[in-house]
Amino acid sequence: MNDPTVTPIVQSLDLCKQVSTAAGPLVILDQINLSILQGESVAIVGESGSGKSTLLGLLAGLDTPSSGRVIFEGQDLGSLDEDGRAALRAGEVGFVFQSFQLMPSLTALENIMLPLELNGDKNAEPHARSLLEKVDLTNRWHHYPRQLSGGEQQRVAIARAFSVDPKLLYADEPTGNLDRRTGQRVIDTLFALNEEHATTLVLISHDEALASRCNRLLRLDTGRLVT
Amino acid sequence: MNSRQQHSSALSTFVMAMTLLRREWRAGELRLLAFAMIIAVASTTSVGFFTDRISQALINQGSELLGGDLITLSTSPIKKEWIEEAKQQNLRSALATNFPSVVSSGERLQLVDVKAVSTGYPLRGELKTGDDLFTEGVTTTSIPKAGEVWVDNRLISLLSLSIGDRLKLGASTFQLSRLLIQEPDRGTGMVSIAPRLMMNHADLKATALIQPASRVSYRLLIAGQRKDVDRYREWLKPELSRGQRIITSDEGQPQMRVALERAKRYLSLASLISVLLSGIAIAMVVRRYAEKRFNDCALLRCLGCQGSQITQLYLWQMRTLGLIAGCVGLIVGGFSQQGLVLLFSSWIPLELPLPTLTPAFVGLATGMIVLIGFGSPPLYRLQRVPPARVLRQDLGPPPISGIVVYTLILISLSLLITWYTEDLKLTLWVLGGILMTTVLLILMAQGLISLTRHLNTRVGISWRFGIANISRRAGMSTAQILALGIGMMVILLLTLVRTDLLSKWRDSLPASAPNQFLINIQPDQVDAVTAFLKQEGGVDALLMPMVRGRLTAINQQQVSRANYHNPNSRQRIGRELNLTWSQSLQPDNKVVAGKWWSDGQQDQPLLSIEEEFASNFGIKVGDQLEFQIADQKVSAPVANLRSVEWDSFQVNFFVLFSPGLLKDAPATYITSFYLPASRKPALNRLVAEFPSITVIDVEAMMNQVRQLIDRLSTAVEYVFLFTLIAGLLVLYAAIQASRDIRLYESAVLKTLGARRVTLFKAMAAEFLLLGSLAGLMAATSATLIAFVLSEQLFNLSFEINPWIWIVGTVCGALGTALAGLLGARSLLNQTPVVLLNS
Repeated sequence: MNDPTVTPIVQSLDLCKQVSTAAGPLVILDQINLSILQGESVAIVGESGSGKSTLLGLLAGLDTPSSGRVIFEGQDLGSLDEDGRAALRAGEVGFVFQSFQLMPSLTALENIMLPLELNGDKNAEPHARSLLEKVDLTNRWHHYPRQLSGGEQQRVAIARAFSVDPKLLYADEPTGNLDRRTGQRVIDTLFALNEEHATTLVLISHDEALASRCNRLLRLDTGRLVT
Repeated sequence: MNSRQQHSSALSTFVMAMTLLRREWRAGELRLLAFAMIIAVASTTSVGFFTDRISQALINQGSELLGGDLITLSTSPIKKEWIEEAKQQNLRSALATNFPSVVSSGERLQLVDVKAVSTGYPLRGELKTGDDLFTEGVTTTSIPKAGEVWVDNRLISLLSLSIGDRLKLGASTFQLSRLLIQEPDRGTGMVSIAPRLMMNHADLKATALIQPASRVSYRLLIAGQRKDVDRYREWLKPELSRGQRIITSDEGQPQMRVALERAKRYLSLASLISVLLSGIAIAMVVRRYAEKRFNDCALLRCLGCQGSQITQLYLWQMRTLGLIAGCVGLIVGGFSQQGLVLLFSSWIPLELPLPTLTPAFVGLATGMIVLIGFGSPPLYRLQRVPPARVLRQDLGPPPISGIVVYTLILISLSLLITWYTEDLKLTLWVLGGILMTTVLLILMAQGLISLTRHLNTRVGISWRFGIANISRRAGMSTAQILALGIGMMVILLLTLVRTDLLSKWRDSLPASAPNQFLINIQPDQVDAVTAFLKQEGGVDALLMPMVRGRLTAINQQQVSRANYHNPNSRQRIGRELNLTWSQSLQPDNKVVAGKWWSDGQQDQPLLSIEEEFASNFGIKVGDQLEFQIADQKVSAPVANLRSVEWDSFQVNFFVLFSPGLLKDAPATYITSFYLPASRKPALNRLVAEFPSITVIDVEAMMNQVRQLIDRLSTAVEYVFLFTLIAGLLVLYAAIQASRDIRLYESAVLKTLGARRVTLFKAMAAEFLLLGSLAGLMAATSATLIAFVLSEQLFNLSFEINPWIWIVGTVCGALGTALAGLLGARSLLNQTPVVLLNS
């Protein structure tokens, strides 16, 4: 495991998210203050509906808070527009989602090449091939997502997430859609690559055993950080 | 980002767009879009290429009608240097000198239109001669030899000439050697021109007819390569002085050019309907395509893609696909214009040159305008897909503003229509028509959908579910009924309505329309001519008296040009009108205001005026009109206004008097009748018996009119083939549009235990109802459009065809159900897991 440095890569200050419903405003996240340091791995756990995914969305700049701030690498995300936040993410942030989110019209290899090509990487293909090898899918490079099993799809998604060597990786319930055995294999792959790339990892899960593999554990309960 | 990075990013966006395009193409989703684009471009270019070739051919034919590629008209003799210069520039030249003169044969004299021509005449077109009246004639490349003349059949009749007779013209005597049947530059006027006498230019001087004050028209005919002709024209222009001008083949035959322009305009509008339908299909395909890309775009946003990059990613795909499909459309258009040419080969006696590139450009540009106008709004939505959609599927981009979508569509439509019609007024009409039809269709669709809520639902669950689906997805159902309805409406218009209209239009010019006109019949010949026609031609001809007169006052107010702005009325003021009188109303005339005179009113002075003439001059029933006839003033009140079917080819008049009033005025008689080819020789005998009567054979002109109608309607049918295909595309796209939601719903229902047959029935019920509603709407709108077309464009009386409603509703229901169920059969056969996973 890497030694965490003292610099926070991402932090939230009084982060709140509420939505209006017919029955009045509904608070999803309430006054979240946290700091994630470079190189550390943090698990955010909580029950279904506790606001984990919303928090991840806010930290990654995928969504905007109702109040409060998110600072990524010293930059306040609230001061940027959608494109500005996207530009900040490009090449710096990786994602692994519960539902894999692969492009159905691209092959496994092309899916991994996608972020590299978006960054104008000329060696996208050899780079992607070496990652496919690392996730043990060398022979499946030309297969489309629909031709792969759930575990295989998630391994492609992990390879894609690491392709640009991100500083920060968000993983949202990466094993949520997989059986235990397959999930274990996927998680092994994720942690192995994380160690190799020395990436800061933010893992969302409701699985305590999985969360315990991280350096630190944060618990969300009905929108509040309790540990 | 620095410029290098930007460049590299743009390049990678393009490369990625191409990769995605290749994949998407294989997945088959974009094929419909490509197909719609091919139809749009092919329909435009087939018309474009075809009219382009005809118009080029007409320019060439224009040369034939002028007798050369370039004509210099002069009131003074043609300068020798001009002929020299033409020779220097590799051009051929010939001279034609025209003037009126009197020719004599024995004791008889006749005014003739003399044309003296030099060797080589005509440089373009054909000269035909014969040795008998009313024969076809044979083409000749020579001109009358020195000392000989050729004359037309009118002079033969007037002077009772035969081949070999001697004619005196000025100081010379000539021998009549041939009968002149056809000369290319005769012009189109048929009544006013004196009979033709053609002679050799070399004989001109000896006749001593051309004196300093003579009214002579000198022509220099030039022909050669187009570029040489153009160069010569540039050289000649500064040489011209007063009384001299140049005519080129582009200006020749104005009527044909106007007709072609009009035909081109209508054919282009016909092709525009396929373009419009293709646009609708494109809009539907792209909308569905874009909605299925929300997840991809959210992911791309997560990966750091800029909004503009996402738009470019998809725009590049669309543009590239559009360009490739457009090029295929050009090829299809190229082939199908050849089909049009083949279709017309027996009617076009012209050698058609290869088309220019302009129609290709116009076609491709049209396709791209439609693609961008109709297809890009949904793509612009993609850049606003929130990245948080990767976490929450319910998040989507804000709906695109309706104003933006409609403005884009309106702009592209207006651009296209203006470009095609080159006429702002027509553009506004067409655009207004399209908008009104669309609004009406939307209202009708919404009304019908709300009606389905009240349908008796005491039917099985599957039928109830299917029927309820229509109002449950009201928005999508409206769009589907609209698209299906437009597609069906076009199909109905093209099949039932078109056949109705065209057959009526064709029938409006019956095969027995008059083909002969007799003019200059003297009052004392009326009975004899009537009897002759009855006996020799088997014709019951109605001889109408004709008196020349000028309209001088309306309600005691002098008629003066200053009071009228309408060019038609201004033109008629001061000119002599043909007036007539009649006891009875002709069958092709209809009284539209006032009353026709009764038998008891015979001696009362009364007038009947043609309605358009009346409206040009602001004449109403009861107005008092005054005419100057010879040296008399005749005044009478207007008893009625008439509509006249001018295209019946019967003799008709703007102004008709009651019988008594013009009895003493100097009149000649005129008649028209149909004479079958087998009885044509009777005309020879008629001319021999009544030499002063002029026979005008309008058969050729009639054939031209009838053929033009045939040609046009066949061309419209051909062009509408594309419209038909585009209509089917819209149908298909409309059914495809709801496939995804059906896919999901059938999976859920199957999971809940619904049997295949239940699902099948529910879908069948929904498609049947959707189709019959669309069919009903299509029948209503097709009938409305047919009504407007027949009343406004074709001037035909309109009759409702009940079959449209039956065929529209039944075929609409069955067709939609069949296509819908065929498209959805894979859903019925799949297991729910597969459906849910997909």
